[in-house]
Amino acid sequence: MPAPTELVKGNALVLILSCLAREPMHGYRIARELDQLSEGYFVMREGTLYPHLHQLEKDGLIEGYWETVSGGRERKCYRITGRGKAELARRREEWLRFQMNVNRVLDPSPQAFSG
Amino acid sequence: MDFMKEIERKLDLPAAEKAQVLRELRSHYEELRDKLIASGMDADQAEQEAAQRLGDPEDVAARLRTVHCRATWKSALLAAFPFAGLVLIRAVWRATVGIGVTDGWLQVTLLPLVAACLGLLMISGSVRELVLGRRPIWLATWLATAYLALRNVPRMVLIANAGSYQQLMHTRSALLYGIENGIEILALGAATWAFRKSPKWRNFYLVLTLLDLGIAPFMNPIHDPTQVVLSITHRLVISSAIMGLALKLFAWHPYGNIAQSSLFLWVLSAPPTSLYTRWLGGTGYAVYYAVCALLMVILAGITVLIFARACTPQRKLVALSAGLLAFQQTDWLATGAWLSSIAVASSIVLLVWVVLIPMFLQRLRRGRRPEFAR
Repeated sequence: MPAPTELVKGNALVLILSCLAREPMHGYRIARELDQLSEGYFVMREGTLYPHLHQLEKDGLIEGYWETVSGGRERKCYRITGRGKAELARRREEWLRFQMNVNRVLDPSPQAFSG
Repeated sequence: MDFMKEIERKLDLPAAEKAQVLRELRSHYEELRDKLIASGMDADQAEQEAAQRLGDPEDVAARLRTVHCRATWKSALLAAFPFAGLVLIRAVWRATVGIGVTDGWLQVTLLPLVAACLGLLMISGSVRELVLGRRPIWLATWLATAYLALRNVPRMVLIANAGSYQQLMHTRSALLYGIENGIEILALGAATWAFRKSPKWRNFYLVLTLLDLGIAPFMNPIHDPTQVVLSITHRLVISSAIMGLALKLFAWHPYGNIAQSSLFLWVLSAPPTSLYTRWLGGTGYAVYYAVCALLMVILAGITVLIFARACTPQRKLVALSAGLLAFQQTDWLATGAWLSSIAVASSIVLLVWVVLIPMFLQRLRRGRRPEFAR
């Protein structure tokens, strides 16, 4: 079952940043990566990926450049910047803390109430 | 449905930025389509599937607009700076005329100098950006306020030379009117240029420009009824240029932009409100100009707010037209009680023309641009 749209939208920036942290990619490839890595869980209309990419580029977290591939097709690739890496680390940390606390609330262990 | 054609139509961004975004989307669309064809799908099906995967063009275009149209505080402040500065200079100048300080150092020396410096600063800043091939969000306000600042400089310099406004009117009024009318006719030229792709409207503005060239030399100073008629005609012609540009811009917008129209309405109604203050105040011009100064500063803020929200040159021009109109209306109000009544009437006419009719047209032709907006 695909993730709720709002959840994807709210986390799209960190998902894109983590894809680009591995290697530079263009929009089409990012869409494929998200689909494959999440085994179809993160489904988004591919066109809506671009507003997120452009937002990240405007914020200086990624930078875009054009390249020509075989067959003469042009595509715009993105790579993560130093600021982007720092932001990704911060968001990852934040996410892990959030996840841990949600789990605590969802599944309270007896130790949580023992003190 | 042709995704690319649809998104091109819906994507309302500055031309250079739009071209880049479309280039990138097209690349994605074609790659996706070709992969689908390679996987065995026929071409028509592949195009439909690719369009579907990319999403609703209107939604994608709206999201892209939001990202690309976001004004930063810095750019909004830069956009506000010259306009607010000019409004304040003009308000002080007006206020000192109102309270009878027509020969003081403030009015004949300092204010013209500050206005000229502001105008030159804005021109040099704008030229620098243009030379570097950049089009920052504040460029339009800088250019427009440079126009407004430099338009007032001849009057201020001539007053400074003559020693007082009254002296200038006695000796060199023809020169002053010639310069000021010449600058206003440039607005008509701008409208003719803006409508160059629409023969009907281009010819309309060309005729108005020629008409105004015939009228302008004979309308000042106003001594007899003929000159009153000529002056009103001139004002209507100039208003038509400014409002024509605004009309084009409102009609261009794919949705009836209620927020923009409401702000425009506010800008239009503010000067007539100051007129009522004048009628009710009964303490003469000093109170009137003090209120006007305050209103104009508020108008500057409103105009900058509209400007910061506007992302295309067309929409920015709407904001600037609102500012220009406010200036013009205030001029009308300052010329005397009888002409002030005409100003109120013209505000209503212009309001219907600029805001209500385009909104009505958009309702009728939703999704289609009227001929004059092409």
